[in-house]
Amino acid sequence: MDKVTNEMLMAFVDGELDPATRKKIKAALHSDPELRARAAIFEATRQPIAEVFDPILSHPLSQLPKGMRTGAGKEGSAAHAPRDLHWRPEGLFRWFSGLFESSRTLSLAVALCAVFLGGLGIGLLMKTGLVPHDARGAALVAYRDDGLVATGSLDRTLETIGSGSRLAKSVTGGQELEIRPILTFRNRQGQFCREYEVLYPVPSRFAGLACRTEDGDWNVLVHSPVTAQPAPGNDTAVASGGGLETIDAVVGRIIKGNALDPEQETSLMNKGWRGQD
Amino acid sequence: MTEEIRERVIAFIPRLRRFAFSLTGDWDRMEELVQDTCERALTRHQQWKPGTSLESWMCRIAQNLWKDGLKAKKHRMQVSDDSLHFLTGVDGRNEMEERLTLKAVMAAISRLPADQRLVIALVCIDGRSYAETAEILDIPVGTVMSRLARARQALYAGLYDSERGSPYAKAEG
Repeated sequence: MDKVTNEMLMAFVDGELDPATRKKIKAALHSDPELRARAAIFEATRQPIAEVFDPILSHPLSQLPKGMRTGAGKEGSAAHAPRDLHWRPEGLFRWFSGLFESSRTLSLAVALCAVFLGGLGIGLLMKTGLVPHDARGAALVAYRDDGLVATGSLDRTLETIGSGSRLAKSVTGGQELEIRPILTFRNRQGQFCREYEVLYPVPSRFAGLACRTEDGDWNVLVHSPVTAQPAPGNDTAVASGGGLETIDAVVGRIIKGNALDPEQETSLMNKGWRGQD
Repeated sequence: MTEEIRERVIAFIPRLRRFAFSLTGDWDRMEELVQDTCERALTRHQQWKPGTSLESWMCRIAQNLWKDGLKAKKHRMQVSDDSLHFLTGVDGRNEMEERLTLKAVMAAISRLPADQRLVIALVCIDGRSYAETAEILDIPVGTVMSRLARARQALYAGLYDSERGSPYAKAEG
């Protein structure tokens, strides 16, 4: 083929080439050590550089920027939006965040999350009666061969409810359960992923992250209890703890591009989550 | 500002901090840039066009503020050991390796021209596509590519072509 420019090699490394050109460059790289040496420059300045900065994603925020701390138009009041405590330091799961400081450990960390939740977490939660259930008493997450998947109300919510809207269900005992998707994005494998919250009456609250497989299952990467307390001067419960930091760290690692906007979400749901590309 | 925009701005803050840190190289200056960006996004949210990416719009605000600050010597990159300390682990050996790597990366980035730093920050660190980067910086995709290729060659030279030798020099045969 014609001379392979540095821009083309870089675009190859960055996954920015069309399939036909990609194939050509791959073949050229295979047979040309000089090209491989040039491509190595672009490889060395992509992922290894990104990893150096990744810990910032999970580093706690001492406080939200001004104007972000309160509800709209209520700056300075004691009212907190539920996500305000997203970056408050410490918490039961603080140690989890450290596992995400390198992409090399991400898969391990996600696996540990599943083990943690499936082995210790769910067991403990069962004892305390806090396993997430929907209105008919069915669990919101279940074990399948390859890990946790969303079931029942959680599955239906992820499949059909737009971010920011709530699916409210009353549970046995008259308590109300709400599931709220928070945001939707695409991961680097092209799967659609959604962050969500499960809100029970204080003090029970869960937050999680799930990605949709080709089979239509929502594979749960993280489903973590977070503490919730009434905010001073406000009836709204607020969540805190490293579980949320962990979710932020995972989102930061796996997201490709931006979060989807409501129109894109609606369009995807109408098409049964079959995206373009 | 609607609650939805506010939540999306908040959700974007971790990535905004990483982006801002890669430009400023200093924890306090990063916090300042994030603060200024959020303030501007809040006060001018009517300027954001629904249907376009809110996150890209915020990146555009941040890079404009940073470039303005450079002119006013406000956000000039200063790499200090203090600002890197929080990123290191507790294991002594790893800590030293991590610190050296991070310090070396920050020092090498700080030697690049501002335009090259921006494309590195957007593509290599924030993971933006060439098209998104072009939109944020309001330049053609071709310019993003040529600028980014030059920036990465310079960054590589700054990082690895020193007396330490390059860990990537031995391109597999």
